[in-house]
Amino acid sequence: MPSQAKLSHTAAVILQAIDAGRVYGFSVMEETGLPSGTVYPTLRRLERGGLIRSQWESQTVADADQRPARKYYRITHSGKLTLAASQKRYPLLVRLFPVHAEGKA
Amino acid sequence: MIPRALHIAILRNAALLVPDAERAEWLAEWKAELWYVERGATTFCIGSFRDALWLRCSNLSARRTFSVESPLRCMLLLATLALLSSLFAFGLPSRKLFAFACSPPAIEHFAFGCFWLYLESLLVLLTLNPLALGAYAENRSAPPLAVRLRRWLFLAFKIFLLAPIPVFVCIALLPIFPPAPWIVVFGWILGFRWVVADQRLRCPVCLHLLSNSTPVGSAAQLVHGSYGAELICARGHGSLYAPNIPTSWCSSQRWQYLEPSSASPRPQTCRS
Repeated sequence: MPSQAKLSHTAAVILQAIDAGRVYGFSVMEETGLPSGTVYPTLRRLERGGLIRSQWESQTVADADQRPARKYYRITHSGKLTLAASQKRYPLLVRLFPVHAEGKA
Repeated sequence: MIPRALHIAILRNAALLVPDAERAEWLAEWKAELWYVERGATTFCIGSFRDALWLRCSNLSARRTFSVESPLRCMLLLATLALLSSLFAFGLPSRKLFAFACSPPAIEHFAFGCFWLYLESLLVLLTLNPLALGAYAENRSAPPLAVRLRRWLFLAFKIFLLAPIPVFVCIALLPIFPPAPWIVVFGWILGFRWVVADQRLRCPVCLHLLSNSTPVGSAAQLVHGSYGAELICARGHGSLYAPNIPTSWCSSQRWQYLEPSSASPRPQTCRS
């Protein structure tokens, strides 16, 4: 997907949530209030378009916390450019989520 | 309280829709996510069907070799079908239809019959499906009138090219299949339904099919239900909200023209 790809409002909200540090599907759902049937297909589409990148958490870390390994999503450079374009189009987008310190780290 | 095993069973069922190559990873992700869900786990798991279906559909559309995404390709397809059906009707040798077509009373009779069939199919079509194309409210980003008129011209061309196809097929089959006039009725009903549905999903500016469909909401927690879908023009001309269930605040689809400054200089490739 080219850097200036157009996003629907819902997709832009999800991309904004990931940029703000909600790095796995369920946290995006909790933050945006969108149902799972909306969030996960959008994540797949954003990933196929190269706007986000997914990576499985290390099994050792998950085992240490006694929980299953999670799939984390990170925004790419192309995603950041697209998000910036979407923020111009949907000006209230930036006010939706406070930046999550953990996700930005 | 619904046991965890049932939720896993729902996920496993949904996983059957996912293409083989991606199934294991898909299931692992959903199971991992389920671990964190404390309330509404069943609704959460039901959403997995939509995700799985999206993966299946996107794999199928990636394999598709011919699409009518571009308006030119759409018209080319209809023109080719019209040409082929006319050849089938009149171009084949040993047809007695030429003699039939040359007698003026027969032509009048045939034209009158076609007219009635056309009216009948329009009535059936109106009963089955509303023909409204949705609200395309003007705003300061709306293009000039000449550009907006192209949309109606395109619709008229599609109807013009589609209308003779069932008639030609009927003429070709009439000697060997007496109930062939029904083909005209059903052909027109199905064809015009497609024309309207196709028109609804096109950008009113560039006439390309809209893409990046995003389902919005979960109506009454139906398995595949949602309030509607949001689609955008990949060239940045605007976005469309199409409700699945008509509501008091949004009974038909609505188009929103977007700022021309955000339009892309080149076609985009992202498809749902």
